[in-house]
Amino acid sequence: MIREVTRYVGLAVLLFAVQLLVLNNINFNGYASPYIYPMLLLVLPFGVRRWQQLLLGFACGLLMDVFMHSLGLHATAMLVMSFVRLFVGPSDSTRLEAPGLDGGLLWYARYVLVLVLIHHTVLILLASFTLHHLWLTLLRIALSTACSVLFILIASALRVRR
Amino acid sequence: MSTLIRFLQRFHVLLLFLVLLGLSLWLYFSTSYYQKAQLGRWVLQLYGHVHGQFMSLGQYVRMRESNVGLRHENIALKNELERLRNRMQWAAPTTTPMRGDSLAYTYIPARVVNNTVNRQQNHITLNVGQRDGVAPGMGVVSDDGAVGIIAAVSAHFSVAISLLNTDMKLSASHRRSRVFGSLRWPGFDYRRVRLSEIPMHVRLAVGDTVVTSGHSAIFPRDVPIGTIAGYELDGGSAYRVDVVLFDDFRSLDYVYVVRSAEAPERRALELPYFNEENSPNDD
Repeated sequence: MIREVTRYVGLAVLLFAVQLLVLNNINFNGYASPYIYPMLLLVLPFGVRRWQQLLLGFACGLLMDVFMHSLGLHATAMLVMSFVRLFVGPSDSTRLEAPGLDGGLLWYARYVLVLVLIHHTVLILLASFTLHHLWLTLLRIALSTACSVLFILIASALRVRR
Repeated sequence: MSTLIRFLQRFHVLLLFLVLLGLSLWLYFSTSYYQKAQLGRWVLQLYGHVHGQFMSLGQYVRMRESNVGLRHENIALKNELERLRNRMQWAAPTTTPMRGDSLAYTYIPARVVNNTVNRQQNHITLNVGQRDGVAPGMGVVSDDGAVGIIAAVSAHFSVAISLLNTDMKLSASHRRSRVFGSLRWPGFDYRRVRLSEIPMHVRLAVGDTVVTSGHSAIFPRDVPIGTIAGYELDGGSAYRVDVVLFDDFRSLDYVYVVRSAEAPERRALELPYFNEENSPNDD
């Protein structure tokens, strides 16, 4: 238990560092800005108490907000994503402690895609807070989601190999 | 009572979700972009330092480019100085300085240690702070034009609200006619901003320069911002002007913080009369 918690905190520090120092500087002409830190909640074991999952998601988002000067923005996106995750269970074929690539690439990729899409939709809609240029906003959501999913899958693959 | 407890047991996750959702949305909408930036002050010290180390690599790579830019600026300033000296010789006997030797604006040189352009509310971290004389509310300019407004300072670092922030409005004018309007970033292209409220009678042309109006005492008058790329009537009474920025916000490196000697006095005087949207207060 202690070892798992230590590993989890290590992952949290790593993901926040990568997000703040590397990914925040990536920007494909303003259309896509990838986020890797939601992975922290994605790999949380399904067994964790549900109210704890919500609080953790909220806290992660709030911490990111402090760094990004966007108080409330990431907190909302993470909270909504955590809430939706409560209704997602482990894949049928394998009983999983924590979601990861070992649950099957197809299942895991779909799981990441759906939750990241929800996170990004809330985040980007809330940040622009207008329905003008809706197509541009949707394009931005789609491209950012694609980038983030790619980064999260790569990071997950690296985790498995270790 | 037991019904209430059963209800809570059954729906406690949903209730927690709704409470937290309310809290986060309230935080997001009740705080101004200025307050949001100020909250980051305590991480500024640490973050600015770590990031500075990291960014120096990028600055090293761009050194050649930066040097060429600085040289060009130096030459331009020298020429300007000579021109002014020349003019002063002729003008000296008839003019007296209005406020003794004090300069209306002084410039604090700074470098960008962190900068984003990919969000709707972008910020810039600078390597100067309180100890260098920087205070919230001061303007930031680069060699090419206006960059942003300082929102928070620590001992050695400061955070500025970038011009690329959809929440910020700036008073700017069409240089040829001196008519002013409100400048704002629509949040899409990091090279384009929008100037609105320019009355219909003003004759605009593509390629005209847009500059700061100097109304807010944050920026001096006539700091360049960009050129007009196009314009259209907005609601039949005023123009909406598409402005291409002079600054490339993705490669910002050397900037200057503008310290206005007159700003505090002017703000105190104007406070009851103007409710300026582009002069952040310290609350």
